[in-house]
Order: sequence, then C-alpha cells, then structure tokens
Amino acid sequence: MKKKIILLVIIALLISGGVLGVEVIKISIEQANTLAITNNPYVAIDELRYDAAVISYDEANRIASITEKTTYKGQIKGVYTPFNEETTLTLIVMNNNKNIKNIEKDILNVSYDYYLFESSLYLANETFLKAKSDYLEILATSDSIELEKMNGEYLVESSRIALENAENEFAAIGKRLKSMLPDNKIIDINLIDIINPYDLTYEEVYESAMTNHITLYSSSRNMESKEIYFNIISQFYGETTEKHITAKANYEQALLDYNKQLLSVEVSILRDINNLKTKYDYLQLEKLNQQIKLEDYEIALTQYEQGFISLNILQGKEKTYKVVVSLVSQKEKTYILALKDLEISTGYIR
Amino acid sequence: MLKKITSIVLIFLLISLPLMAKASSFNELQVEYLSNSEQLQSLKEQLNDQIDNYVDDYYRYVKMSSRSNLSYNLAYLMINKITGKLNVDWNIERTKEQLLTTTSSLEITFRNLYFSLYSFHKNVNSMQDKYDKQVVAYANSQLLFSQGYINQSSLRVARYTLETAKVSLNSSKRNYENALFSFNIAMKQSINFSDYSWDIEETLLPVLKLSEYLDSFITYSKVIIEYDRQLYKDEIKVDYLDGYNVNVTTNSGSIDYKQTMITMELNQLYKETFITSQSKEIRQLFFNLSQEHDTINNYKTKINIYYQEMLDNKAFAEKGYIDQEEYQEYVECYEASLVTYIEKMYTYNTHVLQLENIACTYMKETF
Repeated sequence: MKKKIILLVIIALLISGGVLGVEVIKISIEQANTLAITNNPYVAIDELRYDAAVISYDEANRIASITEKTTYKGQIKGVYTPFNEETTLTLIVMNNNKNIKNIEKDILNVSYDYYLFESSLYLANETFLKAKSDYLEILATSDSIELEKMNGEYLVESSRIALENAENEFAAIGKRLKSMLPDNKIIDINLIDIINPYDLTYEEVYESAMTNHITLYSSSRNMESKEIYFNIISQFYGETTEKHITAKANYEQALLDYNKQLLSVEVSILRDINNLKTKYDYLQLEKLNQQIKLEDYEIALTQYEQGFISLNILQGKEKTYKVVVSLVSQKEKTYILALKDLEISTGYIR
Repeated sequence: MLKKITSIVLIFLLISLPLMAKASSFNELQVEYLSNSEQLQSLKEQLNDQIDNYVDDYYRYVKMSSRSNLSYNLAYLMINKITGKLNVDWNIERTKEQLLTTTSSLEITFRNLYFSLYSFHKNVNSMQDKYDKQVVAYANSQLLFSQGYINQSSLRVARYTLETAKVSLNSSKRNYENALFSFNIAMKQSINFSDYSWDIEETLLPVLKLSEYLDSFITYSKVIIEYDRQLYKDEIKVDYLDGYNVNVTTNSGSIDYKQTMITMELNQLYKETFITSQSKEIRQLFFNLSQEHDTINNYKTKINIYYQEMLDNKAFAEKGYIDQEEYQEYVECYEASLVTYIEKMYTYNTHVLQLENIACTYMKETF
C-alpha cells in the first residue's frame, strides 16, 4: 500500500509538473496572455504602426473633405485615396490582432512543450537509472559473460546520452518560456477548456471568417478599390482609351481573385473543422487508452503486492502508463493549437 | 456583393443538399471543369479581343513609336515600326501559349482532384470493412467475457481496438467529405458519387524518348520563346543601328547600342542557364519515370502471387482445411493490392503529364 501511494504521488507530480525543473507558478490562460502581451516588444511596434496609419487615414479624410470632386484628380483624392487608407488602417488592426493571437498560440505551444519535455526527461531519467542498476547487477553476478557486460554498458551509455539530450531540450524550452512569461510562470493546462468540435457549425465559422479573414478582407477591399477606380476612369476617359481598358481589366482580375479567395476560404473552413473533429477523436481515444493503462497498472500493483509478478513487470506497466499520459498531452496540444489556428484565420471564438 | 451572396448560396447548397447531378465519366467531368474555368474563359476573351483589335493595336503601336524621343532618326523609326508589329503579333501568341499552358495545368489539377476523391472513397470502404469486423470481434469478446474465458483487461483492449477502428472510419469519411467538397466547388455544382463506377485508367500513358522531350522543351518552352523574341528584337535593333551608323553619331545612340549588345549577351547566358537547369530536371523526371515503370512491373508479379495465393486458399477453404474467415483475408489482400496497383499507375500517369507539362509537349497542339 505504501508503494502504491509513493507511485501515485510520482504520477501526480509528473502530470502536474515541477518534478525535475525549476519550480513553476501555474496561472490561467487569460493571465498568461496578458503577461505575454505586456512583455512582448513587437506589440509596441505594432501599436506605433497603427498610430502612423491613423495619421495617414485622418490626413486623407481631411484632404478629401476640402477637395472639389468634379475633376479626375479630385475624385482620386476625394474618394479613391480615403478608401484605400481605410483599408490600410483596418488591415493593420487585423494584423495586430493576428499577431496578438499568435503570441497567445506561442505561449500555449511552449507551455505544453514544457510539460511534455519534463515528462520525457522524467522517463529518460528512469530508463537511465534502470539501465545502471541492471548493469551493476550484471557486474555483481559472477557467471555473467563478457557480451552481457558489454551490452549492459552500452545500454547505460545510450540511456545516459538520451538523458543528456532530454535535459538539454528541457533547459531550452525553459529558456523559451522565460523569454515569454516572467517569474517562471506557466499556463496551467489543466484549466484549459477543451471544447467539443462537434458543437461547431460550418455556418458560424463561415460567418466569422467573412468579417475576420485577413486575406479575404484584403481581396474584397482590393476588388472594391479597383471598382471605385474604374468608375472614376469611366467618368473621364472613353471606353476605347488605354486607361479605361486597363482599369476595367484590373477590376475584373480583382473580382476573379476575390472569388478564388472566397472558394479557398470555404474549402479550408470545412477541412479545418473536419480535421479538428479527427484530432478531437484521437484525443478521446488516447484518453481511453490512458484509462486502460492506469487500470492495467493498478491490477499489476495488486498482483505485485500479492507476490504474483516481479517488480520489473510492475515498473514496465508504470512506464507504459506514463508514456500514454504524455501521449494524451501531445494529442491535446495538437488539438488545442489547431483550434487556435482556426481562431487566428477565421476569428471564430466559442 | 451580388457575387458574394451567390457564392454563399452556392456553398450552403453544396453542404445542405444531398445531390444535384449524377457524376459522369472522367472525360466528361474534365471537359466540364475546363469549360467552367474562369481563368480559361478570361484568356479566351482576351485572345478574341486581341484578334479583333489587331489592326487598331498595330497602328496605335506604330503611332506611339513614332512619338518616341529618338524617332527623329530614321533607324529608330524603322526599328520601332518592325518591333511594334512584332509586339502586336507576339501579344496574340503569348495569350495562345498562356491558354495552352493553363489548360495543361488545369488538366493535372483536375486529375488530382478526381483521384484524391477516388482514393478517399476507396479508403472509406476499406475502413468500413475493418470497422464492421471489429464490431463482430468486440461482440465475440463480450460473449467470451460473459462466459469467463477472457478477463476485463482483454475486453477493454477489444473495446479500444473497436474505438480505434471507429475513429479511423470517421476520419476517412471526413477526408472524403473534404475531397468531395473541393471537387464540387471546383466543378461549381453538387455532384453525387454514390454507386458511381470510378473511371480510373488501367493503362500506363505512353512515354516519348528523352530526346523528344528535350527537343520539345527547347522548341516550345514559353521562357525560351520569350528570350528568343527579345534576342530577335535586339538583333534587329543592332542591325539597323549598324546599318544607319547612328551609334557613332549620337551619344544616346552609342549608349543604346552598347546597352543592347550587353543585354543580348546577358539574355543569351540566361537562356543557356535556363536550358541547362530545366533539361536536368527533365532528365531526372524521365529517369524517375523509368524506375517507376519497373516498380509497377514488379508489382504486377506481386499481384499475381496474391492472386495465386487467393486461389490456392479458396481450394483449401472448399476442402475445409482453412476456415472462411482466413480465406477472406487472402481475398482482401488481393483486392488491396489491386487498389495499390491502380494508385501506382495513376501516380505514374500524373508524373508523365507533369513531364509533358515541363517539356511543353502540349504546345504542339494547334488552334
């Protein structure tokens, strides 16, 4: 019973983090986002870019308000330029929001990686200790043959190298995390709400994409801009002039590009929702596997306590369970990041 | 805005309505796909406009050329007149070339859309079979468990296997749905493929000799043709400048002459570099094809072995040496090998078309 408690404590520690690394402080995803955005120097640059665009936009509108719109140049200054400035400003706002969401995605990614690498490090350490104790046992046994000794030595060395790699990877991810969030803070992934993708509807995501998809918006505004320009040209240049023909061709090209972009967005929304469902299904499957492996381990523990199986077998079951726990985190990460990607591209938040 | 609304309506129709049109043969669908292409329609309109406005464009060009700041000189007047006419002619040629290139690329795109649909459809069927078997297997496990022959742990593993098969089946259905959606969007209509007999080629496309691909590339490559056009224009320019001795009489003429000579030399070099790199690519693709061809031939032998095994085991099953389930595995193995064979052939044929696309063999076609 005492052993069972110790093992469960190890597992609990493994799941919650903080076994081998620096003591981390777990915070909610919202707190992490606020901290990361405050700490990110690029956000300040984005804000400056927005300020500059606002100045250009205001200036274009000021000029437009005092411009006589009866001439070709007047129409360009009074209608065409303010429209394009408005597009530029809106695109900057949209891109800034996208950059913020990418920062949020990065923190999620690094937080999951931290737990995953910590788990890998733990497993690598276990493997190394096991290889070392097996080797010592071989050396202590008088009738061990040379090949067994060499093999044991090889296993110790290879697991030591694997442990060193795991340590390096864990240290690197720790540094990445530190560069994003101060004071060893990390997202508490247990608090992340795993939404069910079967609740998402194509129509909802599509509607959101119509106003939030950056490339689609850009393409739509480009089409409108070309239309405005063509209308201006039509007022001042004859149908057979090169300017008229070129403006018409540009407008038609922009219309084609927009329709192409619209179709591409429609296809990608369906594909992304379907992929989310598949990822979610695999996550649920892995959770089922985790449950099976935990029950296997518990049965093995009882059998071990009753003396039916050896410690080696019990340790094997425990390791299998830990690997599956890590796989669940891996699958959860893949799903959560795919969901975040959908939010970044379509602006859809549930 | 109207187009946006039309598109939204189309998308909901594609999603919500189960069927609109029954799928036709590969060729019929491909013709429909090409005729629906806005890109091709736009190029055709452009070509018609260029042909209709040929005379006007030519005179406009000549008029513009004569206003050039260098046109005081007779040599430049002649150069502009000749190259002006060439430009108008070449604009039409360029659109024709673009039309053929786009058609060739769209044909490959359509093949990929059609084949991915076929491939995912087959996959759904295969996954459905696997899932159905797991349902039976799980029911058996439940029975064995209730009779005390297997333990709880084995039953859980059986359930996990069943759940895995279910997730794989759903995933393959979604992949098919994605492919169908892309296909229908490309076709601009909802096409029903249920009970459809797939029109997949069962023969390998013929391959020309390597030298024929290389010759075709040199003759018809759009890039090479453009270099040749530029070189030809520059040669005319140099000839006239030489003939009228203008390069030595004016500073601007002299600079222009030297610049043209350098541009010609550079273009010649660029052309040769392009020919070398693309020829290398063509050779590589050609040799890959011959390797693929050998692999497919070897695979035919493998299929024969599977077929023979299936027949042998059929006989064993009839004699009662093996059970029906075991024999069924040989049938499935043979059927799966046929699907793989078709996929290999399809990939090979697509590579043949890609080689033709790079070597521009489609340019031999006439309008």
